[in-house]
Amino acid sequence: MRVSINWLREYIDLRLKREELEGLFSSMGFPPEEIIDWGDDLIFDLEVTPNRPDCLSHYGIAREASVFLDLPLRKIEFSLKESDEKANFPIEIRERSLCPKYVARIVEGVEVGPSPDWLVEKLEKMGLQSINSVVDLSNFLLYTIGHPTHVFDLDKLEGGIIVRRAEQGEKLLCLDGEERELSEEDLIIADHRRPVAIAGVIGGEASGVDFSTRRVLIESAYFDPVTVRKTSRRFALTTDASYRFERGADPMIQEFAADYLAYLISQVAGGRVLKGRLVAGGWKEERKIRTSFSFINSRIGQEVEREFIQKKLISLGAVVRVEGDTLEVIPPSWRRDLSIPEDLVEEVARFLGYGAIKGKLPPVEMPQGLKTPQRDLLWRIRNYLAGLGYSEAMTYIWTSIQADEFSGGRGVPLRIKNPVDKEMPLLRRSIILTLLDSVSLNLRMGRKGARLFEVGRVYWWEGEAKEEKRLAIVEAGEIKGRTWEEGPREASYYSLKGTVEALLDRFSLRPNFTLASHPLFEDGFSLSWEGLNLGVVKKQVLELYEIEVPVFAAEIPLSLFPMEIRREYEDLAKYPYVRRDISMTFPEQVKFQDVERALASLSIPILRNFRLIDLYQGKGIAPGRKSMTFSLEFRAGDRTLTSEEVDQQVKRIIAALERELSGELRK
Amino acid sequence: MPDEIEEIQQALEKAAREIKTPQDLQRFKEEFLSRKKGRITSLFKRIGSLPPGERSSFGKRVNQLRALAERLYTEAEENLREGRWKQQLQRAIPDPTLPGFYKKIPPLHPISEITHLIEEIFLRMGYDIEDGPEVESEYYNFDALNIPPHHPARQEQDTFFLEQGLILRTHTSPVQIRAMRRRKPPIRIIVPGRVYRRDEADPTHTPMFYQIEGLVVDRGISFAHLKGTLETFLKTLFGEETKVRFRPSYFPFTEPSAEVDISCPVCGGTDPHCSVCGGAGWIEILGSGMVHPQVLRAGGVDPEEYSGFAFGLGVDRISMLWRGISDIRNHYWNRLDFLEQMK
Ligand SMILES: [Zn+2]
Repeated sequence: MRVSINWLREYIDLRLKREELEGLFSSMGFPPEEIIDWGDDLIFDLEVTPNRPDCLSHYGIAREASVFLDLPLRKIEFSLKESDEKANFPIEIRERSLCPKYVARIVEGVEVGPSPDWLVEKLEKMGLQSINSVVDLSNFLLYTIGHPTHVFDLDKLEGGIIVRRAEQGEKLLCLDGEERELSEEDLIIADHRRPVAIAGVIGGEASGVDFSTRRVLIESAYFDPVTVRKTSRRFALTTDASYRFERGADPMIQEFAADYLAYLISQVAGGRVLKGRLVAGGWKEERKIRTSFSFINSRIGQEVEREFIQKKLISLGAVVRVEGDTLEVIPPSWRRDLSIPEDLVEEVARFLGYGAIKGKLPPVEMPQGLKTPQRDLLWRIRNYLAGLGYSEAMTYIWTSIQADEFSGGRGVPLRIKNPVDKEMPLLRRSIILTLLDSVSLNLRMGRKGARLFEVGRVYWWEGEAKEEKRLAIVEAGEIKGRTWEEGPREASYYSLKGTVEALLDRFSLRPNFTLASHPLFEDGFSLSWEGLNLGVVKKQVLELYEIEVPVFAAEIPLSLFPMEIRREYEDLAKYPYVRRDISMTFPEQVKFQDVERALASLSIPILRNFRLIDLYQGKGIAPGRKSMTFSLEFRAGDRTLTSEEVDQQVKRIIAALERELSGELRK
Repeated sequence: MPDEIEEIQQALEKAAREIKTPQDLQRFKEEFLSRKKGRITSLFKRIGSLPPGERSSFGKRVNQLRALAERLYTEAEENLREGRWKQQLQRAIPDPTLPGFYKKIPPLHPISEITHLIEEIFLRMGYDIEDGPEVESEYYNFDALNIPPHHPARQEQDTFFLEQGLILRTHTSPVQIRAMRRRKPPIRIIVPGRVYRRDEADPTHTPMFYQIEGLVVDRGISFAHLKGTLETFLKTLFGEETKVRFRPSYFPFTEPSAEVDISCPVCGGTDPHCSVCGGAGWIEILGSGMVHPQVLRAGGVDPEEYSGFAFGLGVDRISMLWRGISDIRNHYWNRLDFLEQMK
């Protein structure tokens, strides 16, 4: 809302400097968005909050400032001369709940012409172009007292005014030159023949005032905010009028506004104001707020003087009755935002100045966040992965339909009706998909590789909306080595899998992976365990993201991780380890996991560690076979192991591997 | 005979200086210190043949000589060992100024770091951390927060609507309602999380960003408590010298409502061309207010008995202020060149 300081000064004796004015508007709650130097005037563009339509005018701002500054407000005064002829034009309201009150006045014999300079200039300051004297005065009135009025060319109206809902199929050519098709949702002003205005939004072209107009009908009404807003939304049309009506007009100002506009027209465009107002409907104010001084003080948190509270409430226009501690407040009709005691608390706090309220901390009898296991878990995971060299990413949660087909997600995807990017309408069912976007961007921006992780959610529909928190890890391209000691290496499946294993081990999780088939990963190169999936991302998926290097990825539900810190502890070993390495060849198709399982089924309690330390195929090994070297560590908790005892177990292991997996010991 | 002691001493010192290898050392030992034929040993053997009057002083001198020889031997031995070690070192560290071996541990995402920092402050003030769904109903996101349909504050053009009749939450405030229904007062929580607004991405907007919601509900909670809490929080986060300003504002879910500004952390209001505050000296940092009684009721809390305050702040904005990041989109592009800087 634009405010001219010179215009304000017509109602209040403001003697403030630019910075002081800025401060004043800020403390009202309307910080200036822009300040324009305009000759000897200053124009402030104020951000008026939607609860304060009463401040969408110069008089309204002056009224508010007068309460803040304890300055007198100059009332708008005029003396309207009516002719002897009585105004007469039928007005009928068919939708009393949508238009409780409609007031009109008639001015005859006007000579519509260009506006005088003072009027043109005022409207210019508001960013409006002059149209003609009568229309300009209606706009001037709006910026003066904030009430939207409309002026009809009475000679173009037939029979009378009817306020009703539009009928399906009715059309109206509006003042902005656009023809709009109306619906039953819209409240309109019609004459006895056709619609002439969309109530509270815009007038019709055919009944508008132009230079040939002689008789005008001034409309000053109250329209239901929700109806005006719906219509304005539907037509995507916000006018100065709709902006005010949808925020709530003053329901008691119609008579004053009609009189004042009639007066202004007669002064500027001449003509006779016919006797009497034409009124349909009416408004009864029933608001009354009962509260108490002690309530206001307790909500503010400090003692405010009763006189101050009372004085300010009265000066903002309320009727105040005090009985002991009790306050009964009838707010002024223009303050639609005041209806509960808390609203009065805000008024008192504002007039007191928020800065004058001394802050204090609320008493804490018992702190609440003593344990935050989920947060701590996430923090540990994040830091562990960073320690392994992965950067934390945060990605938008939308994917394309093509990408989602690979998500392997549950249910059906949730779909955004109005996405920012039409190509990306689905909420992700896999975080890996959205991380691929970041991998792709990094590669395009010249990075040779990327290792990223994200802690986030996936979303799907399964009769209801579902969300699951997950961790996703990806790696691709070149991985930096340890400076000059070790050159860069390529991202690899084993590196990614190792990261997952290390992370799980950090939380004492021992995965029992199975080879799995997952839409996101190449067949045969993917494992799963308890909702955890990892593998080599499919080439088709990478093509969607224009990634030309292999990408290895894992996605893990966070529910897999224990929230509590582990409490087990094993006493430090008193007896030494005995280590044996064995080298065996196996048929190519034997998997490491087969060996692990064979060993597990032997259940040898003294076998404490079992590691693969070499894998070899080629010279010296029969074709179709491969060699694996294992390191076996034995230890007992209660004695030093003898060589014989260990050898016996090693023999058992070798025998089992020979028997079950066609292993052969290498000599 | 004294001449011979001197002679041996000179030879001894010379030989010691010339020890360069373990063999030299061995030869030195044999020549001077050997118990069988060492030259010092042979001097001792001669003591008996001296006149009784000279024996004592001679013996003393020979003893001194032997002590010297032993000392020189030990020194030479140490030098020799030292020399070998140095050679090894020399091979291992040909240039002490070469870069060390290390792999950088990447920092966490700046949003994570700032969120953690803010959580920490509130945890110390006795708050708990809450959580809620991102796919929300319009009821929780709007209606329960006193934003009925067709309310001017119901920013429908900013909302992502889902075909399944739900929306992506536009703020973390719905968790206020969920938390009030789950917990009994006193309630002291913060809610960090992602929120979504249908904005085209530009340097100051992204369609997804992070908020932290705060909610306190108890008997006798006042606006002064809101002020004290946020002043404490902001001064802890931005520094004790930070000035905090509360301005009246409007949110449908709070009454009274306040917008909170801090003095510009970059220029402190002294630079009229400051790129962060634009010369205003103040930066809008969060929105807050006393919880509207309608909202308390929607959360199943009796507004006659309890009152509360709530606030919401944008983590991205704080991260940007913190680092001087000028383009918010950096937070979600995840360019490593950006992330690796966030130490
Ligand atoms: Zn600044």
